[in-house]
Amino acid sequence: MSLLTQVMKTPFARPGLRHRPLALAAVLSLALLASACASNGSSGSSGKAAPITLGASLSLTGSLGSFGVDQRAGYQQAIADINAAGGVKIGGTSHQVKLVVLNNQSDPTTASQQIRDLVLKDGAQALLGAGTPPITVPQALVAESLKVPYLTTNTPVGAFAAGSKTGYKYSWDMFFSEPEQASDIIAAVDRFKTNHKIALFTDNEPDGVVERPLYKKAAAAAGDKVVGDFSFPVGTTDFTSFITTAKSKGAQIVVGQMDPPDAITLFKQMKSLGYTPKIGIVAKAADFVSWVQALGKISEGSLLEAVWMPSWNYPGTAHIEATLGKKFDNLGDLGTATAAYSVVKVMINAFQRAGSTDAAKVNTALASTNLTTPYGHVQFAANHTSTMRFAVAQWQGTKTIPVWPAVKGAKLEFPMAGF
Amino acid sequence: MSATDLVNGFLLGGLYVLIALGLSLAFGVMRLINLAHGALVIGAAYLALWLFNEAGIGPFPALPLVVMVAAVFGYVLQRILLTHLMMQSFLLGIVGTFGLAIIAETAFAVGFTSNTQSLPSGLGTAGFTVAGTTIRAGLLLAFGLAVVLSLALHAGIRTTRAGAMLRAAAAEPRTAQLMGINVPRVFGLTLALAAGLAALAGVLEGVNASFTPTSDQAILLTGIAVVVLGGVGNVLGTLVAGLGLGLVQAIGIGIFGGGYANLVVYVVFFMALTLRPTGLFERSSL
Repeated sequence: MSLLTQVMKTPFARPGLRHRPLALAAVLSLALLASACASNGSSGSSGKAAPITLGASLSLTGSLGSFGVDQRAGYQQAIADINAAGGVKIGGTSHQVKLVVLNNQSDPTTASQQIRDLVLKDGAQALLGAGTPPITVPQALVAESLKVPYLTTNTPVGAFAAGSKTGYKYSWDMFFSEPEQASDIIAAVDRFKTNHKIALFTDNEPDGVVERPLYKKAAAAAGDKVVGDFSFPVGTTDFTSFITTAKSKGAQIVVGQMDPPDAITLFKQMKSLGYTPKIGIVAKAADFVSWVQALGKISEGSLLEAVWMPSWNYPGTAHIEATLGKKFDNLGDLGTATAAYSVVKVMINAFQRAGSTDAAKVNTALASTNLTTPYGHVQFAANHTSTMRFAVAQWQGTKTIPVWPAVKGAKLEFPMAGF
Repeated sequence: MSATDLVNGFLLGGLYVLIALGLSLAFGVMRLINLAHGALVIGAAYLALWLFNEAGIGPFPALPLVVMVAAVFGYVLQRILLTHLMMQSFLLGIVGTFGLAIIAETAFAVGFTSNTQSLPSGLGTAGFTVAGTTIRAGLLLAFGLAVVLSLALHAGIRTTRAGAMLRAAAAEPRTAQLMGINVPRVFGLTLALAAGLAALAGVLEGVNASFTPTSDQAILLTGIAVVVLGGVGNVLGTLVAGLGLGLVQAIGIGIFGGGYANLVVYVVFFMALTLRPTGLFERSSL
């Protein structure tokens, strides 16, 4: 029996004392309330500062799973480094950083919903993005409605900017631009001696739709000819007619913008139909070591996008190589992880300059970012994007050798040994 | 549109047949729409991948073992779980298989990551040219197996005692039970056969293309389209429908372009159902 109950049950002889139990209960309640308020108010002196919560809905499984795994590694490493250095100082108080990661399974609807959950249920004060426009654009639009800062990478800036008809207020992207990607890819394949005939394979996702005319324009500018222009929905499993056309037109170069499952199927079918291009690159699909693991020898000599090169030697490169470099020994996965690492750096830098965890203030600070990260220099334009550098490398086994920009001493294979 | 496109499209239909055969059997005999059928196909591909990675056994040497494991799994699944669910309600059986498909997808992602996988085999990337037409060896094998197995299955159901028991259990389960046929055992063996066929399709799919933990969904849709077109439980109907679907797809791509491959298939599918709601062929007397 609680003290209060005992008190309430105690008989009182004099009528005037009937109200004593009630009065006592009131006093005790007030005492408890005062005690609770006192303990809350004293957290600054006797408890820790609340952590800054960053939320991320990543594609850890599904067709884009390779992006999510690499990004998570980059986010986690950056946050570990920040916390090891004492956390984030805001207004004289150090705050640790907490990361909440959800798996959107490469599904845009789930990705959007999880942004809402991260903010409303997990208390995320800022959001770190996933990869590729079909996932990041819906995420950004939800972040806009919630008025919470959202920063992403692994999303070409043109496709990201096109995602909002009225322009973003709270969402930001730092990645390469599609025109530069297209011209650099064409420049990379033109390093090899071919007949300059290109078979172009693009899917109907936003980046495929954006890239297709850019590849054609870049090819024309470089004096190459697109003899086969093949567009198809994601999930296509039979490329026979495209391959027979490319073969009949004598295309020695294959350029693509596709999801990994489709591209792997394409390359296998190219081999079985006797189509032997001399050099090839499939943006997005060939960017991870899973490409080599799935295709085996067929992948030998194929090219990949490399969003980051150690030879660029930005501040923090040595640390990246010593930490993330131990996890990922190829430029594809390491580049994605490095870009993600740098996203955290930019976001936390915004918190520090804002001097507050208030979303609007952090967002204003993001707009004025002028920071050099291991990924490169970040400064956002009016459309909330920061254009980063682009590079191309070649798979040789599970190692990657720089192709473009050309690196002195890099030994390249030609033609693709896999074909 | 070249001869290569048409021939390989037709042969691709063989793979569709292998995917659909088990599904058709399960529905024809047990009235079970097995929504985990796609997961059985992909599961076999992952098992073959595991055997290659751990023991160095190639997909085709491993095929008998993969098929056997799948068959045993199918039998146990039916006897222990699905029969009990189906006895309570037809819908519970469907829901149960749906749940199994979700569990399977998650298990594959946890066990193998979500990276795209492919089964390494020279046959998957081999081809040869006859009279100017290049034929993909892997698809030719799928076609050959589809024809042989369909004919063998049809003959087995029609002419053997086991086939008669299957037909009896499919037509009147209660009466068959009263006549001394162990219907739950027949159902178990049916799902074992269906799972074995799915395993065969899975290995060929993995060799000829690629797969991820969520590939089961598209595979299931293809299987359902072929089953419905061919007439539920109609083995020869499934054969013709599968080959026809592959050919129609190739023709559609040739006329409209590769971007419309799936659209053409589903338009034809709906048109066929509009004309013949029970499928292009009679529902089997399974």
